[in-house]
Amino acid sequence: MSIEVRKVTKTFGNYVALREVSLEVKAGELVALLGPSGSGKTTLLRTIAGLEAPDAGGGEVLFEGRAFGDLPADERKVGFVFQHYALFRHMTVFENVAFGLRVRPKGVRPKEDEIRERVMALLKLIQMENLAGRRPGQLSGGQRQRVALARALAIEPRVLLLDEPFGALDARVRQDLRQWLRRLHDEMHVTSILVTHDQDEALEVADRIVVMNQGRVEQMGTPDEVFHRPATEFVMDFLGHVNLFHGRVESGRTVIGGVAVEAPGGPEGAAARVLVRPHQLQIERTAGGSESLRAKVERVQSAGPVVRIEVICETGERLRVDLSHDAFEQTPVQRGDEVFVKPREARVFLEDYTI
Amino acid sequence: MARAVVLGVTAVFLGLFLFVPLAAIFGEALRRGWGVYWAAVTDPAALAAVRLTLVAVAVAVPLNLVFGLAAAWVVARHRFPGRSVLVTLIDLPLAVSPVVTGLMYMLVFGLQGWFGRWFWDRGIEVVFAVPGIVLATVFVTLPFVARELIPLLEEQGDEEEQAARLLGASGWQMFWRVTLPNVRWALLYGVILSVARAMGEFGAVSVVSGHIRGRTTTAPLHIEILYNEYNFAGAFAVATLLALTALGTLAARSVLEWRTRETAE
Repeated sequence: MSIEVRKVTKTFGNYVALREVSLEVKAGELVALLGPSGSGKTTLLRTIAGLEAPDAGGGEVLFEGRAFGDLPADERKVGFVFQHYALFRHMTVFENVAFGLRVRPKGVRPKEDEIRERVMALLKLIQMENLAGRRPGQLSGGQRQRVALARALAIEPRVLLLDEPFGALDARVRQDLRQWLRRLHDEMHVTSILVTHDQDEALEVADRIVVMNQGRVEQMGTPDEVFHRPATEFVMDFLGHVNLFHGRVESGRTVIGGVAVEAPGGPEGAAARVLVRPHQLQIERTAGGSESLRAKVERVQSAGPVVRIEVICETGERLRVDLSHDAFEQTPVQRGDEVFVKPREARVFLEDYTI
Repeated sequence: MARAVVLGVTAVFLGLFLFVPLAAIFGEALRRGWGVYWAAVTDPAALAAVRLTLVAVAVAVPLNLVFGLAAAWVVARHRFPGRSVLVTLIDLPLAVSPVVTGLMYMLVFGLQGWFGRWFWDRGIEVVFAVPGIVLATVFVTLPFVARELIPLLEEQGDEEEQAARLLGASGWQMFWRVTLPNVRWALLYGVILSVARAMGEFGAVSVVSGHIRGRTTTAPLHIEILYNEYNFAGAFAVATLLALTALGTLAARSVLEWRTRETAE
């Protein structure tokens, strides 16, 4: 079921949580709402779920082009997974998952053995058949989260909404669960919206990412688009570590220190902010003309998938450079070495407008 | 060493002020033998007093169960103007002296009061009759259920209720299947406290009762009458009934606390 959010505004007292937010989610898509805390992503999810109403005259949420209230009862099925699970603490795992089936009106309620069959199938899916009789208090965080997901799936939702589903879990468990969630989505194709503040999670799991900031949508696009072609400085900064240079536009190019960055210019002399990701910097032993910055190596950390090098430029900026182990072997450096840093790629954001 | 001293002081204090008086009640009641005890307990006026006490409990506790649950849910789940006033009002009966409560009811429902004449003209006696006693009991037991539930409901939050609604439950289904089971032990605890207070209430009931023996005396009032008539054996015999309900309350309370811990784990 497709979802359309149309110019939704939501305020709590004086606090504006959402400012004319619009977005579309196609049927069967998995979209991540990504942003820092306070960006409005959870409010947006709760508004889509109907847990919050937009301000009067503050836009609407449409499902297949219709308001939620106009949908036939059969299509009004929203699965919601809460950040802190919200499992029914006095019920067993089985009864938690069965809840959505048991509360159906008499005519459409499945028979007892049918409920049993469907619940056990879901418990099998989350690999918890053996724990059907446990109560939520006796489960680990990852197990609770899986029960919460099974409970939401039991009603065969047309839309699945997940609020920071892995936020309270260990790094390891998170990793496993998000791969599992992606596989599950590929099998079931339920239209899903996932709220997260973790850019790795969004990049790994989502078909499309909606980056939010201060109640607004900063950028919407595939993981590749938002990562490689960030529309704003905020998006670039939020989606991974960046090195920031302050530059200036000179004869159509942006210049930082002695280095010219290939970028279409703005008005001559305009102040520019140049953002470079750590893996877009390279390190050389010798100066390559005017195209590099002189720097001193502060720290080398080679334990990890990449070699992380911290340098201080002669202009005072502290930079992070990520090199592959192969590249590092070709130009090994150590603390105290004088090196030349050269950006291979950069994104330039001019004051007031962006390129 | 210091621990032993504190423990000792506590034990002596509790013994002196709680255990010895409690034992004295039973001692006094039985001093002249089981025959006298049994006669005092089965005296028609005593039985009528116990019956009236039970009637007051039977009306006041269910009323306050429903009111307390509703009030606690409204206060814990909603933010509205006047919310803090409502919370204060719920606590009012704890702050007001029971005698003052009784006088308030006299002022409102007494023959010289605001509505007393209106009821009297329609043949309904409020004060110096059973309705007045029940009203006073409802008032003094009003806070107990709500006060037990408000902190628990606030601590549990409303996410489980939201989850129930999103899974398709109606408001009633949410209440019966999620809200109520989650607070059931606290609710029962509040009821036990209400029962104990309703049975033991003296001050407010004393003012509105009129002390008509066998008709408007509750168990505590009956004890006072017997005591004032120097019928110590009788007074203490009826007092043992109240003491036994108090002990029963304590036992029920311990069981509940143990159950709550069990389910919390």
